[in-house]
Amino acid sequence: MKMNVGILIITHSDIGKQILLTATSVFGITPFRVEVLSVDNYDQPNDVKQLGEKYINFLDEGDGVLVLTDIIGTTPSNIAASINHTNMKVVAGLNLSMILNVFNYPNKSLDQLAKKAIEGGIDGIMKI
Amino acid sequence: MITKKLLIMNKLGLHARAAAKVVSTANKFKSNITLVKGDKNADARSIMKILMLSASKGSDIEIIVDGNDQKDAMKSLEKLFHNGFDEGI
Amino acid sequence: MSIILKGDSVSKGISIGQAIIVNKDRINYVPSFIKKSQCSKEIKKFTNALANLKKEYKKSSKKIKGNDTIIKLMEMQLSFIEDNSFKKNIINKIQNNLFTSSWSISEEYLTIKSSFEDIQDKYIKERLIDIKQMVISLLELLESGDKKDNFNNTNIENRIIITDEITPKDIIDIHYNKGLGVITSHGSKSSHSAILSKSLSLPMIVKAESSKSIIKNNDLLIMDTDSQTIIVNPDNLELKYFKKIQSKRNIIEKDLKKVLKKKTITLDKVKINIMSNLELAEEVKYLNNDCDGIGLFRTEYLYMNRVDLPNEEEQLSAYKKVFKKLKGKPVTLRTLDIGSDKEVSENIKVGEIAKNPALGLRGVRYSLSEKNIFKTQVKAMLRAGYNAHLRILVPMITSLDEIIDAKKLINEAKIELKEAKKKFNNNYDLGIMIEVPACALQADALSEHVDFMSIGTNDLVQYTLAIDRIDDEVSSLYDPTNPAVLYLIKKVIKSCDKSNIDVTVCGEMAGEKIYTKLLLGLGLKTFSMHPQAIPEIKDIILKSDKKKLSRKIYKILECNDLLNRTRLIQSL
Repeated sequence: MKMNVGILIITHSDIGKQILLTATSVFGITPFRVEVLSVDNYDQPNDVKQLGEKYINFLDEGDGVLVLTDIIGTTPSNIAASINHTNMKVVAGLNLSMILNVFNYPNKSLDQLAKKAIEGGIDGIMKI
Repeated sequence: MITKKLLIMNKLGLHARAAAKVVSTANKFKSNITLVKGDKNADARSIMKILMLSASKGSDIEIIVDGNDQKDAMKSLEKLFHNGFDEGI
Repeated sequence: MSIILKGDSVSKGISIGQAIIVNKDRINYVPSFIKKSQCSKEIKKFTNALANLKKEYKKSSKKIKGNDTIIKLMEMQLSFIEDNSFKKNIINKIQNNLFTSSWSISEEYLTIKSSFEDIQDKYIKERLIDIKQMVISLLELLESGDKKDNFNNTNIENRIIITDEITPKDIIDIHYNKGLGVITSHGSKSSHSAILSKSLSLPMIVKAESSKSIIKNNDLLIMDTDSQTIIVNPDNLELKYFKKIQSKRNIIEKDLKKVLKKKTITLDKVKINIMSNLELAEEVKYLNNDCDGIGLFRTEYLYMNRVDLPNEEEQLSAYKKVFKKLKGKPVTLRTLDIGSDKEVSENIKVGEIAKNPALGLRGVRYSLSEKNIFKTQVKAMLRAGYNAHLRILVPMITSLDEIIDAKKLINEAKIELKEAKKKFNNNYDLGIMIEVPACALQADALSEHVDFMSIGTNDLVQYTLAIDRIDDEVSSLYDPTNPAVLYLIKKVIKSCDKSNIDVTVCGEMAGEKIYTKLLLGLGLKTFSMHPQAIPEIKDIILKSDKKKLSRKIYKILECNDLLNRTRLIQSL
């Protein structure tokens, strides 16, 4: 069954935006509905959280939302984790190979996509 | 040693409850008792092994009994299989 | 800086305390060997551990004093401990391969695990979980000598436990030893352990996947079950904020406790009954007796997670516990209602899982086809209710024929009891659950054949709106205030009033404060809910005027769009 999971990226400043732009140019298209939130030093976490909640409600078409963030334990990640939306999963450790892997599976369910995100992220880390 | 082929007739096959009955029946006797299904075999006193046979309704199980009380043991097991492990058929 | 983790909340409450990591999932895959001379010593070590594990299981069963459900769970594990081939194979490995007992056990477990992987039958395959639990317990025993059970140490007092999975036995031990809360990386909201933690008011969050890798021993944690988050090493601001919420909650709880002492009457002096729902006989211990009886005792847990069926005596002792604690107040026992979303255990499975279990053989349909199981249960209920106020509730009724057939079987059960010279209650109330629209629409006729009715709103909403309760895709459409549902509830209440019989709402709706005034307005006089919900609901009832509410209902019944209807309900 085809799923339409939405993606929300929440990162320090515009790391997320840049990674998304690069992934889109590599892939050719953005196979998901994606929104990006930048968190800067001058932002109030609560304001960003509220914005995040709005984006998630917008992105959720019934199949849930995958939230990608950069490092666990930092403000962007804490904001992501504190959003109380029923159908969402948060994965930390955003890197380019993570988002590219996710892009390869536009029809997977939220659970499966979270797995692909983790696999993609880890697979990209190696000594050259 | 005596061997016999018996059919699993109850709806749920050789699941945990039925396996437990096989074990308690086997434990009443002294003979060695083995259940064989295809290329898998199980000591009739090991519930884990019996479960691993994964014998569903309609499976053929070969029962091998060897020992002094083999006749009685085989009789009891046959009865158990025939009345579907006391679950009715 | 603090780290925020997510999970699924199981039970309410805010807990602030230090973490203690408990490792339960330890199957060691590192090879270790012994010297040939140590062979017989090692074998003895293993057989002793096996014997001790057996003893421990038996001891735990006694400690929780006749918790029959858990005993049955442990019996299953006991059968694995006593397994012949398991023991033989491990001794062989120690003897022939000179493996240590731990390594032999781990290896044997791996062999068993791979054999189970090929098994198609879902129920047999699931037994591997029981085997794994037994193996873990055995390894713990071996590695710590005779160190006591993890949760029986006093060092979990005032701590929040972090672990992989938790068994019902562990929950009881944690509660007993004054643990503050439980966070597990796996688990499920509907497991046996989850239900128990709710009853014991032990805050619990499951599926917090990164908890074990992020949280370290002694880390300060805040468990915020309302937003389903865990704050690790909160800063002063966060700590202050949550401590404030905690103390506010404590004040509210104290106030509510005072409410419990009052009689439940509305502002316009109508007496309302508030009853308790019960899942496990053991929960009755924690009931504060601030209810007017048991409105629904779900008996399914007596039948689940075990290889056999509970016999008459076992059921009798479980039901008796409830009657004893409730001393003369009405106790409503519901006959076995399996199927739909409840996990079906193999002992009550009837062949292949139906394609549509919600529409299949469940409730009274199952009972009428498995007459012996039904009669055994009825006999136990009749005996337990001797000299007490017994109400027998039959689920999933759709026709008068089913009521007549059920009554026939109950009569047969009574005859059998007479012949066996057992004392039993012959003055019980017989009631039916209204869960299906067909039943609600026939309420007038059916009310003449029963002594009471109980509206199971969970299923009534499901069947009326054709929504699967546990399907995440449609669960947001589940709306108990849909006018069709309200109309059916109102109709049933009216029919019962006409026939002068008691009617209860025992579904989740009864325990949710947003619906209390609505239900009062529809004419409901008896509510049955989870004990934790009683204080708040009672508080609302005390402040409500039933007559005024019933006048406002008409507008709501005619309001067909959700938004406006919700506004009207909120303004009641």
